[in-house]
Amino acid sequence: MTCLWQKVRLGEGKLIGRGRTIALGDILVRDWPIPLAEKLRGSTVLVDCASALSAALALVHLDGLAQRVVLAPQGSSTEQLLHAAASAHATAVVTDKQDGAALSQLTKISVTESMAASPAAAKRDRKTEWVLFTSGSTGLPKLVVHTLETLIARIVPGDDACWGTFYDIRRYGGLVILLRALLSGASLVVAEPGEPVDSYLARVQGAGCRRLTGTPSHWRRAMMSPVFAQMDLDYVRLSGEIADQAILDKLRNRLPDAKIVHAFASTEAGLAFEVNDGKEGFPDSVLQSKSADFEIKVANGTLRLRSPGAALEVLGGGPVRDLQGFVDTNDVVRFDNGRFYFEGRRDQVINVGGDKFYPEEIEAILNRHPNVRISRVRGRKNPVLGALSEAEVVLGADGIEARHVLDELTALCAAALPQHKRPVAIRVVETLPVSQSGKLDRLHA
Amino acid sequence: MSVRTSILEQFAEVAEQQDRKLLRSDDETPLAETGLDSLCFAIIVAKLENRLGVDPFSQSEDAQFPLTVGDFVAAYERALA
Repeated sequence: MTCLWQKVRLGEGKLIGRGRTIALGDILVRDWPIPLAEKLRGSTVLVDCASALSAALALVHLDGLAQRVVLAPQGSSTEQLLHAAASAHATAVVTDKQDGAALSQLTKISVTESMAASPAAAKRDRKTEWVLFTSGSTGLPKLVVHTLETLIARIVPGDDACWGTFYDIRRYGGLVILLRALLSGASLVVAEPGEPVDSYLARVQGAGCRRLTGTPSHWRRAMMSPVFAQMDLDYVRLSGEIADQAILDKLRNRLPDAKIVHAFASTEAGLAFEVNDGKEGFPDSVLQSKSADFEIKVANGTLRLRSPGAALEVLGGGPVRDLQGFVDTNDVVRFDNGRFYFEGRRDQVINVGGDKFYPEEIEAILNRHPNVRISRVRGRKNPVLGALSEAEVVLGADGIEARHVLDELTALCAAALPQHKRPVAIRVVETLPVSQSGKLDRLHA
Repeated sequence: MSVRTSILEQFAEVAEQQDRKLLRSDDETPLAETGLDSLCFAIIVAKLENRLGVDPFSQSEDAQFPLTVGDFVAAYERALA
């Protein structure tokens, strides 16, 4: 078993944080002193760092050494940290934070100060489990277990051109980009916790980085940024949420020469496929890309995936694969004329008197309007039919009267949707919450 | 504007939006004979909640949906009293 430490490709690559940069080569010439490393050997370690860069450093050093590494994303609450530590049976915490009273029962090991140039690196020969947070239906995260093997199974290392990602590198979407950079010797501009979009985009631009990844919500935010208006990119990638035609078209108009790709991936199923024809949904040819260990199918209306990149299990939740090895993504798809379209998450269905549909269908229509930046549709309880849909929209600041836009949106919905799907109310809001994972927050909808 | 007027205005507005003809709306008319369907009433209840701030039929688990226009109006009048 080759650990991550041995897989990092050396070259000019560096991890570029906010006010701090680490060359990939420098990561490797530092290590914990042997007695500290031995404390971590075979233990379950919670990585709880304020800086994303520190977390990356910790990961490289813990793979092969710890039995299990639990990656706490930015913004994790004390309750979430305690839940994760208890569920994973953590005995140590690797951190760059000074306080940490909440985790005082764990052995605390700091990630940078205690690491020095050390030629005698501790032996790393374990198959470490990597435990990632994913948003659960409650405030507590679902804890999804991967290994380095499953995480990199679907990564094709490439050239060493610089990457950027809006994702937190401690969540699946960002972690895969981090690993890809490490394996390719590429630089990565790392978004730091709480960093404003404008500041991050300016750093991406300053680093000469021309490849950027994020969720459609990240991209909708970026489209509102004056920095983005000045940027040029070669490669744009969207994943983690449904990429509707409106966001694909808006990005295409803004960046006519860029390669614009949307990918389907989830923490549990791993990376499934990429679509690069500029259209929403995916062609049915995707289902034919079958091999001994990889297969995509649609069963009972949802997308299912058998892949070496799938997670092993959910802690306390059992296996993520069925007996045939398929992971049910719970993403509902519809087939129409040679192409599949994503409808939404099965648990987000809106049921109007027995007629079921997903919020994304209506959001896609609202998002077509040139003055709509982001929209959110949710079910609203109704005593007659169980539920109706209602919508919130964030409008662009171009001086057009909101009332006028709302009339046009009502007309758009009337033209495109059967009566039961039309929002009973459309409200203008200043902003819509995007969760820590970069997705439109539907939990509190 | 009285609660009754608001409600009857809403009946007319939703009927028009939904391409329905409001046949009758006096107190004795059963809701089923107003010319409006259940989607219309679902929308009317939601719009009245926006306008009046109350949905009398979701306030308790055992709230019965009314049978006539008069009962419908009375439910709002009680909730707002």
